[in-house]
Parts: sequence; C-alpha cells; structure tokens
Amino acid sequence: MHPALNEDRRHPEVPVGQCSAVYVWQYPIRLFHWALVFSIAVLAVTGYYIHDPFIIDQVKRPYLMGWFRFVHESFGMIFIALFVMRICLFFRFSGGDRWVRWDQYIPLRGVQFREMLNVMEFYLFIRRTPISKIGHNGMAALSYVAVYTLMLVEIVTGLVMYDWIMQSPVIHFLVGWIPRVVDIQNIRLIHFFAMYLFVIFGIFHVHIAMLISRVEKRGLMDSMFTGYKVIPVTELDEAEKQAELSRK
Amino acid sequence: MLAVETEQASLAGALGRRGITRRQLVKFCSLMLTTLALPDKYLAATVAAVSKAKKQVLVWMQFQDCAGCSESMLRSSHPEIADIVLDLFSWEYHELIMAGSGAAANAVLDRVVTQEKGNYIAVVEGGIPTADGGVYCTIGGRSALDIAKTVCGNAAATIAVGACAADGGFMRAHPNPTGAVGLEEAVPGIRLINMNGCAHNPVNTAAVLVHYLTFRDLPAVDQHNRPLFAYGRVIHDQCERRAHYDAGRFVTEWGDEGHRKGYCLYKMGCKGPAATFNCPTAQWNDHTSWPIRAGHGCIACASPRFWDHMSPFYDRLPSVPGFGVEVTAGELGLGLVGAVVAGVTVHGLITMIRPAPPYPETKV
Repeated sequence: MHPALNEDRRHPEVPVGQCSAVYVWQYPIRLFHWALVFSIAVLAVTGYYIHDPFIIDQVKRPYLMGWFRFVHESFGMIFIALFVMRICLFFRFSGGDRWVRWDQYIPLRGVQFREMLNVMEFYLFIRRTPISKIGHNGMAALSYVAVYTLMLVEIVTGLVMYDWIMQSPVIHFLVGWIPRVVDIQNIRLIHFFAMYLFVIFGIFHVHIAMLISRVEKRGLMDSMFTGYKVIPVTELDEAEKQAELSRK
Repeated sequence: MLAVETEQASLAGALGRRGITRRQLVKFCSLMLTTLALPDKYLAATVAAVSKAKKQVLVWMQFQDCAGCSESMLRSSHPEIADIVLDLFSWEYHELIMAGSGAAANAVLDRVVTQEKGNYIAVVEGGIPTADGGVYCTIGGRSALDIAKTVCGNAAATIAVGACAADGGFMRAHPNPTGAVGLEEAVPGIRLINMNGCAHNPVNTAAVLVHYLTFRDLPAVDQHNRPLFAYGRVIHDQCERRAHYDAGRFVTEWGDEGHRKGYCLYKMGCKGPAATFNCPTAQWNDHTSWPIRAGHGCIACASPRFWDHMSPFYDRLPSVPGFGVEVTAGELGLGLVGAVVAGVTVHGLITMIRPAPPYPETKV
C-alpha cells in the first residue's frame, strides 16, 4: 500500500475509495464570486478615495480624482452586471444549477432553520462539528442573501448619486424619486457605510471558510477555484434520496 | 386712491416718470432672459409684455423671518432690478418698507384680498408656525397660518422666497419648538413656486416675476417645486474650482497652501456636490462673488431643509444617527471592523488550541 494511505495518515472515519469529487460550483458562479471579490476591492479603494481624497496631488497627475471616479463608476456598472447575473443564476432556465438556485438561499423549510441553529452552536463552541452539506448550509446561505441585499443597497444608492449628475432618463425614471424621500446626504452616508459592512462580511467569510474547511476536510476553499468538493459516496446517496423526496 | 391710479397706469409711462429709459428696460429684460435660460428671440415679446402690462398688484408677506430676503431684494444695487421690479408691480403691502402701520396697514391687505381676489401675486418670506394653534407668530391678532391661508389662497400665484417660506428653514431646524413649516405644507393646494436659498437670489425671483408678466404662467419646476432654470443643475458641475477637484487638489485646512491657491473645498465639507442652484453663474451683489469664490464651502442653502440635512457644514457626510453628534460613519465603520478582526482572531485562537474535531455529521 502506498505510504500516503497508511493508517495514521488516513482520516479514521472515511474509508479508502469511498469518496467522490463532485462538480458543485459550475464556472458561472465561480466567475461571479471572483469578479465580485475583485470589483468590491476596487470599489472600496476608489470609493474611499472619493469620500476622503487621501492623495493630495499638486502637480504630477492632472486628472487624479477624475480617474478615481471613472474607475469607480465603471466598476459600479460591472457590479450591477454581476448582481443581475447572480439573480439569473437563481433560476434553472438561466443556467443556475442545483446548489445555486433560489431555494437553497431563501429559508422556507424547517431543515434550513435547524441547520442555522446547528452551525451557530458550532461557532459558539457548544458543538464540536457543524452540519456538512454538499452546497451551502442554512446559515451560510442566509449570509449570502444578506450580501445580495447589501449589493442592492449599494447599487440603488450609487445610481441615485449617478443620476444626480448624469440625468440619464432611464436611471432617473427608476431612482429619481428617491432623493425626495431620503435626502441625498443620507444616501451618501448609506452608500459609504455599506462599504464597511462588505469589509466586515469579507473578514467573517474568510474566517468561517477556514474554520469549516478545517473540520470538513473536503476541499471547501479549493472548491471555489476548481468547482470540485470531495464528498463521501454515502452522503451523495442520501442527498439524492432527499432530492427525490422533495421532487415528489 | 393713489393705489387705484398706479394700478391703472401702464408700466411704460410709470417707468418713464422714474427716469428709466427704454435702453435700461431692454437691458433688464435681457438679464432676465439670460437668467431664465430663454433664447433671445423672446426679447421683443418680453419687452413688449413688460412695458404694456397693467401694473400687477403684489403683496409681500413676512412671517417667521429675519427680513434678509427683503434686504436681498431691496439692496440689489443693480438699478435695473431694484427700480424696475419695484415699478413693475404695484407693491401694496410689505411690512418692512411700507409707510402705513397698524389698522391702516391691515386695511390695505384686506382691500387687496377682497378687491383683487385671484389677480394679485403674493410673495411670502418666513416660516409658518403651526404648534399650539400658531401662537408663535401673529400679526394684528391673527396667526400667520390664518393670514397665509387667506392671502395665498386668494392670490393668482404665490412665490415662497427664501428657505423659511419654502420649507420652514431655520425655524424648522431640529428641534423645531414652534412647529414651523414651509408654505407648501401650511397651505396645500395653492399655485406656488419655491425660491429656496438663504437668502433667495433677487435675480432669480425677478426672473420669475418677469416670466409671469410675459407668459402669465410660472416657469417649469423640479420635484421640490423650485424653478428648473435656477435649481436644475448641481453647483459642483458649474463651480469655478471644479478643475482642482478633478485634478485631486484639495484644501485640507483653513488657510493652508491649497486654500491660498484656491483649491477645491471638498474636504472642508463643501456641499456643492449635493446642492442644485445657479449660485456660481448668477452670483451675488451684482455678480461680484459667491461663497465658494470667497473661499468658504457651500452649505447647500438652496436645498430642502438644509439646516438638518446638510449639517455638519464642515464635514463631508452627516453624523451617524444614534451615536452622539461627533461620530462619523468612517469612525464607526473602522471601529466595527476592528472589533470584528479582534473577535475573529480570538475565535480562531480558541479553535486552534482545541484538539482537532471529529468528522462532521451529515444530518440535523
């Protein structure tokens, strides 16, 4: 037997030859994920500069704020495109597969709430191990719903400010009524503060991905690059049975 | 009797008696057309309409105000504006400048409201208190609200000049003990135009009056009922310091090198990007200057409820509600991020020192 399969190196509870690499995250959702990471990073830096210009350039670059705003607005449009793409992926007809569809995210079934409780207990050290899922557990899914909501808030407030100077008829029709209800300065405040919520989410997201990855040993972090997770075959059979049940 | 005579007189004659030549009248009309952003083909029609017009009766009401808007109108040293606007209308009632007082003054107002019903123009300056039955502003024993309902309700059109008349202004700023509101809320349903600003710009108000005389209608308005010709564009986009903004050259401290060089006041809390007004082009005191040229950031005095919405005047964003007056969104955000980083670090350390957990469960 190969030395890597020695008893002391194998996982004690997963028998050899009983796992399968499963293509969980198809390329659209991985593209969405990494494009979103990049655009949030660019938007946060350029947006912070627009809020508080930390480079006071006297001579060298004669259009510094102009460039920051151009990059911010361009990436804002990419951000909107990503949001629309994600909404499309919620539905099967637009290429969304099993683990990225809307019913995985909106908690409507009791099992999703039980998962949330289970995972919360794991975070609070009440439970040694969390529930393991092929896709998202109920808690993770809910946190992504929160992020999509936050995206919508940034998009709407951003478009209000864009409309403030661009006066595009379509955008004005959609969001032109908002400054009448919420003052433009409060729109700016919300738009700016939501950036910190993205940063906070990012910290939690990476921390929790490391935590769960450490317990699960299924290549959770890896799966966002390759799309594959390593799942025990017994669990796949179980998941298929449940999917069959929910179809009936 | 005098009032009746001037009312009937044609305007050209009245202006001639005041020594205003036709040349001055045409210059005045050109200025008004420029302000209204109308093409010069309207010049002949405007001059004809203004000089042929029968004098329109006008009453200028003052409620919770500082008389600053009256001063702004009267002290425009442009002879065309001060003289012609005062002569274009039969200025029947204006507490600040009228000779009559007490019962005589009230009688004039009553006569205008009854005899000129539906024909006169009402200009209102100052907020209208509504708390405790409106006792915080009374004239001749009647509350401001009562007077405004009578005078504005019977007018052909009402012009709310200044921030106070438009939306309650300074009086309405938090905590608003007198329950002050603007005319739009106090007397709903009247034909009204708001001339926000602290004070209103007399060139804009004169332009609205000339527009009314020429077209018998009020100019097009935005969602806050302010004329688009004056309130349609963001100050930031018309600002003479805009090039410094785009280049990333900012004042960081009052009196620093950048301030002396006339750099952008964005970091000093200038509200130019949030405010819409023609302040940079119309300017003040015969087109002499305006706040940003003078080296002070815009406080958005022509924006709705600017005392509450645009403060703090020297910070970029409003303070975060519920965290005291001095907590900015940046401080709160950084504090939260710091707390999260600390929490996550502790959580991670605890996870590390515990022995590796067993393989996870798959059913809940």
